[in-house]
Amino acid sequence: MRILIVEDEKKAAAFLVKGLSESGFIADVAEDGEEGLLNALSLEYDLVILDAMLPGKDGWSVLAELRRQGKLTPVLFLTARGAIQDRVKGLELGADDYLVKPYAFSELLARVRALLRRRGERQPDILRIADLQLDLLGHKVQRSGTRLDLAPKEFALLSLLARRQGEILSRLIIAEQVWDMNFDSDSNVVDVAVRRLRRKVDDPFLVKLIHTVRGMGYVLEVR
Amino acid sequence: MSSKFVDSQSGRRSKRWGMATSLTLYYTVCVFVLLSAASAFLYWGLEQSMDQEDRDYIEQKMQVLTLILQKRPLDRPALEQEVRVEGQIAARSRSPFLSRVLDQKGQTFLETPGMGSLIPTSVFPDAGTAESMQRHWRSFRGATYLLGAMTVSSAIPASEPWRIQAALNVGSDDDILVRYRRDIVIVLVGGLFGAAALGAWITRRGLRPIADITRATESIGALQLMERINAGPWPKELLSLAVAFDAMLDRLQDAFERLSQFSADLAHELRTPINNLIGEAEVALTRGRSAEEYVRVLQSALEEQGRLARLIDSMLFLAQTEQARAALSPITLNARAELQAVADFYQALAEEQGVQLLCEGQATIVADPLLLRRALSNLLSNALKYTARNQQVVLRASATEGSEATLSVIDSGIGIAAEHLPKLGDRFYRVDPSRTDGPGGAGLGLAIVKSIVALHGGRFLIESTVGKGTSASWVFPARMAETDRP
Repeated sequence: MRILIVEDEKKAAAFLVKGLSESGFIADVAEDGEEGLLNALSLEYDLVILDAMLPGKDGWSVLAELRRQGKLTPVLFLTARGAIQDRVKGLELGADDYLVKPYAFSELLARVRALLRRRGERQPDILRIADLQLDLLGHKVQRSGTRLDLAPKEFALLSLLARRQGEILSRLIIAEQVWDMNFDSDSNVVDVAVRRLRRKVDDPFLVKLIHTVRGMGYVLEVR
Repeated sequence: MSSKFVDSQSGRRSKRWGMATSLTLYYTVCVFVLLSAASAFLYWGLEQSMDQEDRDYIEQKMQVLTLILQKRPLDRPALEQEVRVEGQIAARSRSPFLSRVLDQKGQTFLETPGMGSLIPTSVFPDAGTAESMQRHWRSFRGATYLLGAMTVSSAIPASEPWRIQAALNVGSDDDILVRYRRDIVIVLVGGLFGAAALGAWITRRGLRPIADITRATESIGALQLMERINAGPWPKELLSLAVAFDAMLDRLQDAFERLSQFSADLAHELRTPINNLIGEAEVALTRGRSAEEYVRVLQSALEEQGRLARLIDSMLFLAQTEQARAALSPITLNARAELQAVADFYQALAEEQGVQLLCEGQATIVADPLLLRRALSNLLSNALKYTARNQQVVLRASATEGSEATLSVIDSGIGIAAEHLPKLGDRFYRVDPSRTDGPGGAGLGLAIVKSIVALHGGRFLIESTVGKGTSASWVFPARMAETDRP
């Protein structure tokens, strides 16, 4: 998977390249709008990460020009201003998702994966991870053959973690996907919810599946 | 920026100068008009009275001649005395008087010597019996005469009447009037300049308090915001201005102090996580560590940075909601469903704390869903913080007759002392200053709620009784249910 990063801030571009490369992506950097637009138009990328504030041609113009020329590469828009009209503007111009600076890299990675997954790739109805089995249609969970009794939101949380196993999910992404709360909350609501889920899913069993990644979020994987 | 300032400065100056000029001008014009009117009236009066005097004089002379002709028709010496001698005396005076008596046949019977060559008989007006006629006549030599004529019935019955003709040289009147006109012009011109000078002086004097108040105002800078100008002995017209200005200074000072306080608080909030970051990194670098230890340091750093990021996010959010009002995208929402969604979000946390969450009531509101949930979330988070085990928190939606909708988060917690209530919602204000972290974070939660409510044009109310609990309400204005904010 090839990703184009259009970002003039060198340090930011560097950690994006490093992080994305280590997650198995090939990442290129364009340092201004003109170069970014040229690369996005001439090369085949699976995703463009586009900063709003760029020297020369800003992110909005790049995005608008890209879409005007019929290029439908998914675009993840990065904006330093959290203003709602900025986000709306980006989405209206054809961005597929946006992130507000400062953002957590884990969150960016999750959104990148979600955007890339969006294209095709049907989810299976039944997920199996180690001895955990999720019936996404029937809303049923079994572990080691034992039926687990989960509340609806607990099931939503577990299925989110399971569907994106191995991916570190930030508290914001979890709050957004499970409760539709699109803001970074200071409170430890998500931590408590995960703790309760663990009590049902992990505590009675020897192999632990849900792990805390300190400072970043949670991940479901076999370790 | 600075050139703009200078522009407005000079613009204000020229306007003030303009005020003095126009006042002076008005004053001068008024004085000039009044002077002109007075002079014209006096001139007209003088002319009238001089004319009347002339007419009376001629009338009187003709009456004397009439008396002589009628009472003593044969007393020729008396008549001659009157016509010739009096005429000769008068001829040497400033206003020569001439008279002539015509007999029954229209022939000159008697006249002041020299009158025949000066004024012919024919230029006199035709006068009926016993009444006098008068007119002005300009002779060929350029002298102006007032002419009078009179017909006197003869004392002898059935004979033709006498006719009297009298002329008064009124040239000296004209001289007086010409002189008078010249004096008027001198008075008017002098009055004009005098009025202008006086007007300028009065205006400058009258406007001096404005200059004084300007000076007083100019002396107030950011460092002297506590100064007030009301103390000066201002005239009562300027007193209200001074009072209004002081009120503005009060507001400015308040805002300025809050801003300073806010900056100090912000710096303090930033210092804590940054201090942690620096300290941990420095200690970690003093000697070689195991990989696990480095990981721990980085993880700890990540937590502090997350705290900073959230703080910045909240600050940005506040700055935007306070400035960019266009950011609102409201839609019609079922308030109960929104309360339920937020309650769901906090369900796990509440259960852990042994607190029961209850949603009740119904209302339809128009709000930005993202902001609404953020506000409700902050309120519920606060409520949970201060509610003890086995208590409950109620999320209530209600709508009154006037379609005013209210969303309330009511806890039965420890309550808030009355002295803290007005300051709740100020940024970084904490009821308990020692409490620096915890779920509420930096003390911006209520500030965010307040700004969200203000952005929606609503009212935010907090009622609290110590020991009984707190109720925080968002009151949506009436009609917010039907229409969007303009």
